[in-house]
Amino acid sequence: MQTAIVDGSYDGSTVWLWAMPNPYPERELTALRLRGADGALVVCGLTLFHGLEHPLRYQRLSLYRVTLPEGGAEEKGR
Amino acid sequence: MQFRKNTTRRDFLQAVSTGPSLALLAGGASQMQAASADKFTPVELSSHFNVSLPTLVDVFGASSGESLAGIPTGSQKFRGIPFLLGPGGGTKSWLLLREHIAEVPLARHKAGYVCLAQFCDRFEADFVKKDEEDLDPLGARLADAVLVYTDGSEEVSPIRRRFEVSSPSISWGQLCFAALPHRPDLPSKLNDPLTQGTDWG
Repeated sequence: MQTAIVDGSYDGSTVWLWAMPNPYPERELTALRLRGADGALVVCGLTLFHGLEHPLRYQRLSLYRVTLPEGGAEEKGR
Repeated sequence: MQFRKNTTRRDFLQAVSTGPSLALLAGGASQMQAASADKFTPVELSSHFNVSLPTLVDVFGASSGESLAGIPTGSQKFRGIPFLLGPGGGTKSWLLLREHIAEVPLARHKAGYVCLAQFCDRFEADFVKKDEEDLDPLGARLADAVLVYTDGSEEVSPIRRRFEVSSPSISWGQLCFAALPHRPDLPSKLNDPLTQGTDWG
C-alpha cells in the first residue's frame, strides 16, 4: 500500500517542463522565436504536442462502480 | 461453523483491488503511452545550441558546477514527453538566452502545445522585503516565447522566474507555478529507509 511519495524536485540538476499553450492549434507554425529579456535562461529541449489536452496534466478522474455479491449468513450485522 | 473460501466481501474486495484492477490500469497505461507517442514531435535544436558545460559553469558560477553536470542529456522522455537534448560535456548542448533572439524553424507544423525543457540561473528571494523599493525577482520576465504563424501573426507568452522556469536546484517550497520538474513523484512506503539522517520521517 502506498503511504507516501518521494518528491524529486529537490535533488538538484532539475530541468523544468513548461507546456506553452497555442491559442490557434489549427494554424501552421513557421517558427518559435525566443527573445531574451533579463537574466540567463537555458533551453535544453523543445517538443511539439499535437493534442489539445494539456500534456503535463493528469487525465480527469474516473468513477468506478463495483457491485458486490450478497453477504453470507456469517456477515449479517456488518 | 465453516466458511467457504473467498466468499466474504473482504476477500472479494481484496481480490478486486489487487488483481484485475492493476492489470487493467497497466494495460490502459501502455495503450495510452502508445497513443500519446504519436502526438509528440521532438525538435532538433543542435544547430541552435550555443554553450557547452564549461561555459555554462562560467555563467552560473562554480558553485553550480555539480548541479549543472547532472543535467540530463541525450534522448530523454520526461513525464511522457520525448525530448532531443544535447550530448552535454564539452559539446555545445544548451541554448543560453540572455539579451538576444533565437528563432527555431517549425516546418509548418501544427501544435496544441509547445513543450520546453529549460532552467534558469538561481536567485534567492527574501521572504520579507527589506523595504518597499526592494525588487521581488519572483515573476521577473526572463524571456518571451513567440509563436510565429505562416500568416505572419504572432502570439507572445512570457517566461518568468518561478512560473514557467526555475533553477536546477531550488530551496524547499520554491517550486514553479506553471512548470513541473522533469522527475515525477515516486511512491514510497512509510517503512522505506531514509536516504540520509536529516530526511523527513
